[in-house]
Amino acid sequence: MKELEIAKREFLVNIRRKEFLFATFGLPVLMAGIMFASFFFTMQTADRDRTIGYVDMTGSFEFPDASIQADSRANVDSPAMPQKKVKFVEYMDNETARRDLLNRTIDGYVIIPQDYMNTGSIISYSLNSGLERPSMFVGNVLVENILRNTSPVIVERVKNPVVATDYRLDETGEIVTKGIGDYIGPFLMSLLLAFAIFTSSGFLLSGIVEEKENRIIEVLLSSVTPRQLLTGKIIGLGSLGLLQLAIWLSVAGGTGLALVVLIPLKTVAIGLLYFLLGYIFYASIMAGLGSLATTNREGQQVAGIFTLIAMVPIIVMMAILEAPESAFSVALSIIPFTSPMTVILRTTVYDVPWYELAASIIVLVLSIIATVLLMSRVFRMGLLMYGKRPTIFEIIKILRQV
Amino acid sequence: MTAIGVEGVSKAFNGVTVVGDLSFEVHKGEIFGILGPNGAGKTTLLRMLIDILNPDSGKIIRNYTNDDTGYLPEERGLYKKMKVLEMLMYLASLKGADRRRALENAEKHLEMVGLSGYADKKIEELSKGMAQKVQVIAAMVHNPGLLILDEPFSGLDPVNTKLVKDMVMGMKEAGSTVILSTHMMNQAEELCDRLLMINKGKAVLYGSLDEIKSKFERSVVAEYEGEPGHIKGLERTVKRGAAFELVLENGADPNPVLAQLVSQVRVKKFEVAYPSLNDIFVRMVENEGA
Repeated sequence: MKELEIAKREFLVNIRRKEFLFATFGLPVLMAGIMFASFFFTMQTADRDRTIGYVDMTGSFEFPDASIQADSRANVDSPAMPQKKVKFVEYMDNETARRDLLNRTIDGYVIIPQDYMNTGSIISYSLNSGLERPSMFVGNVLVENILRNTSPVIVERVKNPVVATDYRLDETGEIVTKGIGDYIGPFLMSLLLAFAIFTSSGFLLSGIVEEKENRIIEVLLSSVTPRQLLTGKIIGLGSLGLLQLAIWLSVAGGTGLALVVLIPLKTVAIGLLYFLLGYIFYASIMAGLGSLATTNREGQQVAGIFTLIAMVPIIVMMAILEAPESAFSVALSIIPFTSPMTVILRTTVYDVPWYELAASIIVLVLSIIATVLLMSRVFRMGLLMYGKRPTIFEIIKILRQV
Repeated sequence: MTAIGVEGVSKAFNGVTVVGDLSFEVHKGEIFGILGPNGAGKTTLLRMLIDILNPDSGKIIRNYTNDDTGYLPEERGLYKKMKVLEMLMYLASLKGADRRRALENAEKHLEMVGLSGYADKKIEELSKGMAQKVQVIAAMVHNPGLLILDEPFSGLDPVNTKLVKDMVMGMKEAGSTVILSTHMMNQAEELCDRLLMINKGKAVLYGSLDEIKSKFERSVVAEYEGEPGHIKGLERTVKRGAAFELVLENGADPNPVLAQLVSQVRVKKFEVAYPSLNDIFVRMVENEGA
């Protein structure tokens, strides 16, 4: 089997490439590093106590010296979210408060105007441009003041009227529990899938351009048919992509990340299926177009366009996760260019009906058959055209001829 | 026994005919030369013989499978990052060759061309001449019955040219058929049993070296004392230094001319000269161009 000889070489040569080793081992380390660093810095700044000044023009509010407040950016009541101590300092006028803010004696201050009770508006000043505003820290104090003579239970309810526990039922009536981790899982999975598909098909593309550039292609074609060459390359580099996915998944499993970020077995199974289909689809397109390219740079540009198209589901991820049953999400699951990533995203928040899955897979498989047939012809014609890049008209002519 | 039969083959690119209505036959066990100036269509013809390109019309009958064929393309290329022996073995495996025999063959050939110390070196570490020798070995490492070499001597120094020539002769002695293209006429003259000369995609000469040469008038260089009278078969004499060039009438046999000359003057030297392939080549190309 000449295809297997080619596959073996592609696998062994590319597994030693620096790009592969970096993508496989460096990337998870880099990503984990970035996640850890951003978490670490958030915790550090969030943990710091705040000193907030206030100028009460109504003269009717009583501020405590300090209050413990949950981080106002968090919508969920999570123990992981830090609580911070806020110290309140009273100022008699705007100028003094402003001077202290500029001296950085305080982190910010608010002005409660005389007509506050009618308008509800307050003004706040701070030096930072981040999401945190001094006004966020005074809401509860104002509520406590306004409801001074009301029972503490009612005060608490007004401050926090909805403590929700949301359930989703599947078709059998079972409760499906979803935490924030369940969203990170599919996101990571689809990102990894995209990475694996494009690492492998990128190697395929650059390998073909290299073989054209250094002219070995003619020697190869005197021994194997273009189809054997293409099949061998797709098998070899596909195995490499599977190995990459396996390494990533086992690293995730080994470090316990998989326990925190639960990736359900079903998602993994569907992920592997879509990796194979998506990879063959993109690889055959890249091979055909790569055979028309004359330099590696040209090849990379071609690859870039397709990477962008395949990334569409990740770009519009929120729309898919919020409405996984919408016509938009269904359409993206059927279009072969976007279906692999879309289906992964949808399966984790929604039970994609079997007929939609079937339709998506059938369309993808049919597209693969069509592209492999078309592209292996283009591949055959493109391989021996060198020196000159075909014009768009010549490419159309080639496509018509095949 | 026919190794390859070509019948009325044509090939055009973008409406320009590169090979036009060519017919010829390559016999088993011979070295067959395809000669022609640059751009004559040699490479396109060889690519059709090896089945990389399909002819637009005509027929090519191959009595060798692709696996039993070795090919050295004009545009040389190897994987730069691969080691020499690894590269040779990979190409042999694509020909479905027996691993052990291919290994023996590769080592034997590397030794022949003085590269046995380079088996574990990467291709990119070799000089251009060395890489070219590796490429020639790659074409024959699986011991093919048919060897197709496109300009095997281009870019080689005289020492390496001789090495490659010896390798080609070795393949012939082992029973392989060799087709080679070249524009170096002296190499073709030394190596080839039969020739096809093409220009602008068309055959201008075809046959054995003797057949081809006999189609061209021979010239005789003679030195003699005295003035000969009329000699039958002699068109004219041209003085060349101390000697004379005797231009014979078309198709005339030089032997009777010598006999007549000897009877009339004292002959010191009489040499029949065939035109060299180079002269024929230049003449044909110039005629075609005119």
